[in-house]
Amino acid sequence: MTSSTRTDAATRDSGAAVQRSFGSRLRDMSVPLTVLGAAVLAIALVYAVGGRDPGLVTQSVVTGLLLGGVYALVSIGLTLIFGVLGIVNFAQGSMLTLSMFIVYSLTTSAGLPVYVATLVAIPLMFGFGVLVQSLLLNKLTMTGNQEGPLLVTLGMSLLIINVLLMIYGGRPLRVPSSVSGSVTVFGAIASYERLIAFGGALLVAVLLTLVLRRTSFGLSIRAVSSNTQGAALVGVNVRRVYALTFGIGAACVAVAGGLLSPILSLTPSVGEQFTILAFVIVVLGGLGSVTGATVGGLVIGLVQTVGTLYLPGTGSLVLVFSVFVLVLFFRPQGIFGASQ
Amino acid sequence: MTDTAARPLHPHVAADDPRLRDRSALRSYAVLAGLTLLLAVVPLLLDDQSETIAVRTLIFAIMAVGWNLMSGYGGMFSFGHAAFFGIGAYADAYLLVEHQISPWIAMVVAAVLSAAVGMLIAWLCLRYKLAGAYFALATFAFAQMFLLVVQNLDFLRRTEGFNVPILPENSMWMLQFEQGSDLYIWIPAIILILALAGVIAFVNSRSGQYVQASRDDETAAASLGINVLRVRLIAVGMSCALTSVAGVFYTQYYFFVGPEQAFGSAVSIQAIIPAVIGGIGTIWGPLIGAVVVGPLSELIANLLRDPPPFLEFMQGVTGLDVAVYATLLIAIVLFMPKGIYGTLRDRWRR
Amino acid sequence: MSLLQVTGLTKNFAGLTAVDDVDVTVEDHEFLGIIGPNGAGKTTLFSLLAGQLAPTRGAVVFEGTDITGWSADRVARAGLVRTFQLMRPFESMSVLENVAIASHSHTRSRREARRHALAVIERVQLEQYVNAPCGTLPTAGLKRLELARALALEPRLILLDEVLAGLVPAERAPMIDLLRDLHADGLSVMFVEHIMAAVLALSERLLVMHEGAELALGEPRAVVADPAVVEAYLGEDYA
Repeated sequence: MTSSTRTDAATRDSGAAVQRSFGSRLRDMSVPLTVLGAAVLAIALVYAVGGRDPGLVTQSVVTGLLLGGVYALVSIGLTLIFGVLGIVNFAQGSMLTLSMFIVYSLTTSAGLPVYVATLVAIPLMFGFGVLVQSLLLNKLTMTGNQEGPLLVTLGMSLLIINVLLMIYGGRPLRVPSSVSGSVTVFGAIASYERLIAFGGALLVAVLLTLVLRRTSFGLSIRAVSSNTQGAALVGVNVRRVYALTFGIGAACVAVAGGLLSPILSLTPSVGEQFTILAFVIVVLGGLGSVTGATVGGLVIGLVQTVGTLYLPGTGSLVLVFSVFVLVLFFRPQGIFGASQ
Repeated sequence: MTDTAARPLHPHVAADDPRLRDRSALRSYAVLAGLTLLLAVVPLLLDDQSETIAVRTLIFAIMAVGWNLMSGYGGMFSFGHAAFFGIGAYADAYLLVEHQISPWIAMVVAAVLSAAVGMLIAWLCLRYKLAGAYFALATFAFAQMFLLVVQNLDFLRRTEGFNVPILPENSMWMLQFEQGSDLYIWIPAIILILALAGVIAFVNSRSGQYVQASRDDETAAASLGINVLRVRLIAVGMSCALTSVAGVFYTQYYFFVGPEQAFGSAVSIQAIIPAVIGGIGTIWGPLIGAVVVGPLSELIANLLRDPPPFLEFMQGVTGLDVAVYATLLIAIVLFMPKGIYGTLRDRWRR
Repeated sequence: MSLLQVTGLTKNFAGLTAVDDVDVTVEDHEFLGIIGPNGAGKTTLFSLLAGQLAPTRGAVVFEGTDITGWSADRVARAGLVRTFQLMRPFESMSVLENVAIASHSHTRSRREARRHALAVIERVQLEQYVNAPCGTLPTAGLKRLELARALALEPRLILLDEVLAGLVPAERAPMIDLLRDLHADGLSVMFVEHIMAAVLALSERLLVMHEGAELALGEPRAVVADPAVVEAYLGEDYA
């Protein structure tokens, strides 16, 4: 792994203070701006010559953005874990599923409303993440082992899915929703649940960025991500930072899971599609970049929903993967990743 | 390149110098010969039910040996080997069902196709030196992609999959025999033996040494004149080709293949777990791991069908077998990273 | 025709000029020493010559062929080989197998490669570790292994990057003797080193680098007496 790829993105993204000229800043933004332009252009084209009812297109755009927000949230956790720990967490999707099942248990057995259950799930999943990193992964991460953590997270993913399968069985479950109704945005319907999910995602993204840039803990995370040895030398408890970072990644996923639970039908493998989407998003956005994960999430959400207009069902996912292949071909470091 | 006319830089060493003696290749071939005998005899000793476990184990073993070539020896971890297994399974199904082409030919087609696809994916990932975690991710994504593509293509029967038509009589050319035939064990056994022979030859060849050196330290390898990208692509090609052959046989044995059976993530995991448990980057590790994992699934299924009194609450529960593999995988990575065979081998050496 | 001709070689890293317009020629059979403070660009220079890095400007001509921008493996196969400051053995292999990797550049045969490797190992006096895993080697052994691997490629020109670093004084003398011997047998060397005694003992010419640029180039005694060199690097003791 080129560690420069992950540290550059993470360092730059976390706002390392470097005086740069406006010109060089603009050049840095050239790729993201191009992508933004391309997205706007693509949507305009769909409206103009796409051959689909404009109302439907608007609906897709709105749903896509709302969905994209939640994708972003799942991906932020993944990219943070990768940026700081260098671990590709193959269990991200299953951790999402786990969060959803926690919320399900809390709503059905304890009768808590969904969003309150989500709040309870957050510290639970945070603790889970901290435990996983401390007990299973820290030894491997500290020695810089590349393959070990990959295999462990893969194993964890299988373990979570199958334990859930053993406990709850395979039939789809529903989490009771707390709010109903919707709002009309530009002629498109946006259910309150989806709006709340989107809002929650953005809130977490903003909070996380603030924590990274403004708090001393955030500073220690950035330090570890950019130069682990240096950080240790100045007294940062690297193992603790690792554990807490994984915990934060898990907490992000807990929020996403809770917010998604009223919307999706719940089975032990429901999170798996998110694993792969989160990966595509993180690669698209740039491994280690929180901004990239957010932007990437919105882009992929749009690609998926607008794509469904033309390729119904799972077909739109083929479009998503085409994006992935294109990124690999032309810009493997992603939108916000450092240039090779 | 060398100015050989001038003073020689190095002392002369006799070809039979005892320090040069390396019997490891010979030993490996000897073990392989023993294994061949064993596998020749095994089908005659097993009952029908055990035969299905044996076949499953052999298929796992071939997949794991294939995976190990690029991931263990090459150091490029593939988390999407289902892509190549699936290419094999579907190539066979499609060619057989739509065009009545022999599975043996399908094996060749699948091998070539998988090698090409695998090398392309590897090249895309490796040319910017984004290896390691990134590579695993990319292979994982490609496997999922293939799954989706197949589910959406009419000529590949979308989600329905292919049913292999049952022939009225045994046919070696069409690789179909009566149920319980010993040939269903001998054929994958021969494939496995040939694969292992290939691995032994490769590991002891210059390319094999180059690939391992590249895995250990890419920069140092390049500084010693090794074209790292090329040797890696060779390992990848062989790895994917072998795995796809396992896929071809799978379709022939189970008479049915659908998108999940061919390209599902469970398949990728089946290629990885035996190799990790047995010992990554060793000749015998994948086989040993397959022998552990193959029957384990069956054992657990039996246990759940008819549990002893204190485990009665487990009856009929699904997912325990995979949960057990997963735990085993994590435990091995944490406590015995060289795998069962790898760890034992290191102890013997001391 | 010179063995190596470097003209105007420059390397910029986003605002930092690591190597600044360096011109140097190395003749066949020569032993060129390179000294300078840390950060002077010596290792970067080696990386540019050996292909680990591509230059921003300038040219490298080796045995009459322009090898500028060639990849590391291609340069090595052409006969220009370097060692690394931080030792990089192939961990999974024994000493013999490590060197055999390099010997394989001339032969596909395992047997031949191993035989050649053993000969090289004897030349650098590492034979007591022949079949040992590299993990058991002490620093001095690892340095010799690095050297053995480079020599096994039968290079025309070898770039030695601080091959004495990490050796205690008692270990240095045998290494210096070995290098002198190899040079006497026809090896051409560019030699980056901080240990002045070794540099002066072995070099026929001396290049001094400072902040990426050439500060001085010439006969060792003269260079060492140069006031600019004294100020930049040596200090009064060597004047």
